[in-house]
Amino acid sequence: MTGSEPTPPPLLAADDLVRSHLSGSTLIPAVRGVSLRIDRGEFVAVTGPSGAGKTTLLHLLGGLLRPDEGELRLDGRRVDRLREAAWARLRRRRYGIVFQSGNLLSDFSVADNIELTAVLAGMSTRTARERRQELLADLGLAHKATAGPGELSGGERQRVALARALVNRPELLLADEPTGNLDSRSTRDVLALLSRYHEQGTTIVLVTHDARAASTADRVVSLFDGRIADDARVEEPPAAWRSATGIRDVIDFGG
Amino acid sequence: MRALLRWIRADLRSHRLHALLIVLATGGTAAALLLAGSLLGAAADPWQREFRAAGSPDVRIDLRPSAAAAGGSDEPSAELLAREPGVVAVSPPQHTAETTLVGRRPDGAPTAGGTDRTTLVLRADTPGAARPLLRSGAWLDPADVHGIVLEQSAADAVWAHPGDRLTVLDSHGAPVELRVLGIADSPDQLPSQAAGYDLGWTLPATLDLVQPDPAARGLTLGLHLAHPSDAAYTAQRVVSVLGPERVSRITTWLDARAARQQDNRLAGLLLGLSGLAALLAAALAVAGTAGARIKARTGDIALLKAIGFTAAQVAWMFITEQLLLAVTGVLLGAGGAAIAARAVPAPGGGTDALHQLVPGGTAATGAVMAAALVAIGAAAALPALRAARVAPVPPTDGTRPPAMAARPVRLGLVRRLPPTLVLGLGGVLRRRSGLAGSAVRLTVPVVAATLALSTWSTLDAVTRPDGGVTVPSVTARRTTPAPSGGDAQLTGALAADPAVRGVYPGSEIQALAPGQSATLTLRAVGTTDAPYPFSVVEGRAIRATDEAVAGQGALDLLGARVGQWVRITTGGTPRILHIVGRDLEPEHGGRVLSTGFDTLDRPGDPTGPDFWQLALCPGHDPAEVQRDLPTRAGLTGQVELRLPTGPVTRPGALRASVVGLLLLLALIGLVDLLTMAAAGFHERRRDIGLLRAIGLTPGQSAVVLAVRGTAIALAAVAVGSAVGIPLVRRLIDRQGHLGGIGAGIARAPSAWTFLAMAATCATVAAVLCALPVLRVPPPTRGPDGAGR
Repeated sequence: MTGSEPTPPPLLAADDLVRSHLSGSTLIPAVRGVSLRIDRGEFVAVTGPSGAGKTTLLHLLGGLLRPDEGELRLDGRRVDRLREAAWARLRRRRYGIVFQSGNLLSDFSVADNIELTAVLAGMSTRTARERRQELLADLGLAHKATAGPGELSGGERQRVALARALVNRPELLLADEPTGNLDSRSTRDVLALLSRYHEQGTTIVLVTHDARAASTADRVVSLFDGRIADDARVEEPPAAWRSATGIRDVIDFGG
Repeated sequence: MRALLRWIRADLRSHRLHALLIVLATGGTAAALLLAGSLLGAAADPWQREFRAAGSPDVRIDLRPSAAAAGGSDEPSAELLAREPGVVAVSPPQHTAETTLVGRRPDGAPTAGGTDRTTLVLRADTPGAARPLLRSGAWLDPADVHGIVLEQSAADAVWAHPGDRLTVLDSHGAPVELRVLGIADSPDQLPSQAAGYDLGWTLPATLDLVQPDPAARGLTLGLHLAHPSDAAYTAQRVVSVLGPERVSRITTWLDARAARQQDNRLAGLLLGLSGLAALLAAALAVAGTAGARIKARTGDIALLKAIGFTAAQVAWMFITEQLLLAVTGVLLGAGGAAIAARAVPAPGGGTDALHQLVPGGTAATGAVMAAALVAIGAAAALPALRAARVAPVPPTDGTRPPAMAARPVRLGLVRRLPPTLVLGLGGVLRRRSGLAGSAVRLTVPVVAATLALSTWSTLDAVTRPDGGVTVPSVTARRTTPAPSGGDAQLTGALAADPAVRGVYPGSEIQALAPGQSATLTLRAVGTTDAPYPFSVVEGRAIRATDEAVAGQGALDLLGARVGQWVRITTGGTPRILHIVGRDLEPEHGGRVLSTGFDTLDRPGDPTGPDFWQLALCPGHDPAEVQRDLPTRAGLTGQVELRLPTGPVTRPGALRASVVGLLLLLALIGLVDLLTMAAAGFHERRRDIGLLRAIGLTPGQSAVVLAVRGTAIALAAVAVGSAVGIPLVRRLIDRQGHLGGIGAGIARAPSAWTFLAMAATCATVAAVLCALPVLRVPPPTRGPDGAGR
């Protein structure tokens, strides 16, 4: 565990989380007692082989699944027993979530996808539109506002998903294999964007099985068989990697 | 809320066709229900309004001449009745005189036009007595003793107009000419056809002209009741107080209303029933489309929940969307119904359009609209709740692992059946439960369509000129006095005609059931040796004297069943008849007992036939016979022929309703088929991709889904018609029962109709299922969202 200062409380604190899935009639443990503290401003990568429980852990942290056992605290407040509706309201304002796929409402335009999230969190329609325009311009997708998800490339879709997740300026961004089925160039674009928003102060939890992606983070938690096998800070990200993925390049590529 | 509306707006934008179809289906359903309500309302309301406007009595009692004479004066009867409990007022007694109408002559025409000899009852206009509502012409002129105001249905029956001259026979058989001053409607009066006589109002002085003997005049009284619902009971009391021998006829407001609203009730009930079926079908269609879309968009719903939509919001989103569509549809439907009601003349006749006949329509309209909205909302709620339960975790792959191919599919492939057929049917067998849902949804409009089509074929049968449900016949009556040789020459000439199967002497007399509140008609036709071929649908035909077959209306009135003995009074003579069967009786609301002419052997019974009923050979059109027979038989000027009454007098309005309903049901069926096609495509999209990857052409893969769609459509039509036909038969017979004609008129549509319906459904299903397949790009698994 890192960050053991008594105050302020960590943004997210998981204590001995357990969660199993039912497969047929057998109960398969996915997460078997994970304790984790995530402080404000951290960029944590959760890695591990297939079936290690990475995605389940992320879903537990986002309230998408409820733990069978253990506690989860957000800002020191216990949230693991919240009702589904309370979790939904929490996610609206404080979380941004990006999945590997299926991030966009299939029948909605890019603009609708992003603005719906903003309006849901209580933003005025006008502010939502401004914020969406700002984000899309930032991500080099301003010209795709009226396009449907079907007209976007995989990389573009994940960048729109990022815009959707960031439109409410969440404190915590949970990303589940956001580069999972992207080519290497799109992967670089997305990782660079994550780094950039991390630098602007967003706390990020990135689930990935890709070591290169994990190395973007400043802390790597390795899961194996539902338990934390390793939790280490990345002291020195490779300099060459960093320099090759400046935000300028992303915007150029993205156009 | 804003996010919810935002989602709805975007969702509607991306599903315009679906939205349009739902709006149309809801609108059509609401319009059908509203029009049904209007028709039902029109059936009762104008009558009620007029009844009040005319100040008509709740019970009308006609007393025999002898009774009036025996009483010595009008007062005892009136006073006696005024003391009856529940009687608020007794209208001033009016004298009546029975005459025979023998001729009508249009104004200014030089020669007398022929008409039936019908009974024309003249009722003296007495101060204080309720007057009928004048429809055309003018009321009686105190200076014109030869003036008469005819009752509307009587005027219709003899084609009389104001200004025409009528010839009636006075008590001595001498002709008296009366001039029609006006035509009036009396809401408490049975139409002349149901009453068995025509009615006219004259000055008291006119009565002196045609019936100088006061003792031979009848009397009519009206009772106003505190509780009109007690009319039937009061009528019974009246008979027992005055004695059955004094009362020739009693009618209550219930009889008058029943006699006037049969046509509209049938149209209204049909529309109402089919409208309800359409509402059910529309609700199921909404549930089906909402369900299919939710199933197809589980990923989107999970995402919505992941980004912060609560379960309640997700549910409300779907319900609100469907309700918005339903509100739009219902408003459009109400507008359409209002326009239609303005255009459609009221089926009850007259010049009023339908919409003018529905007072208090706003409340009823509101209720119908609210009911439609509640039904649609409830239908959308169930799938919406399912959406609310979707876990916020997006499905990783988006599809469930495919089930194993069913055994018949594997066998089919082994046996080298066409692969497209095997794969298509395999799809049906593999996902039976889901497909059963589709089939059931489609079954409901099919059942409703069966109802509409059966109504059509029943209408066809009952209005067919050669008699679809009853024996084709015409009635012959002499227009000249019988020669000294009797009727043998006439009947011989009639019987010799090739179109005529039999000539049966007949007579009709009014009968009163003791203790009952209304009159019925005793019709004697044919003889025990040569019985008339009544269309007996229950029991048996007449074999002996004093046996009778009854119409449903008569059975209901007497509270009797086939096989029972009933006691009736004709002309003061009690008579006991054995009801051996029930026949389809379209006349007089079915309140007819038919017996052999030789049953009429009591004192006072007619000695000779008043008419001859001619049963026609099958295939002969009575209208043609009516036109040609007198010339053919050399009887021109000696007989007049009349057509029988059909049970439905205005089939046009009903037919239009049926067509409208079929269009509505087709629309709902289309929505169901589209839903089924979309769901099937979504379900088998991956399979189709794979099949194309292994070498099926786009056409073949389209056939796979088309086979599936066709199978479901055919199953729905088969089940729908199997359920529908018996159901419809019962409904129509039930309606026939209410109308007096009785059960037995229902006719199922022909097998060809069902084949056509099945073929249409199957073709549309096949096309709708095949089209999206042809648009699928070659089999590469696209990334998420692509081409959905």
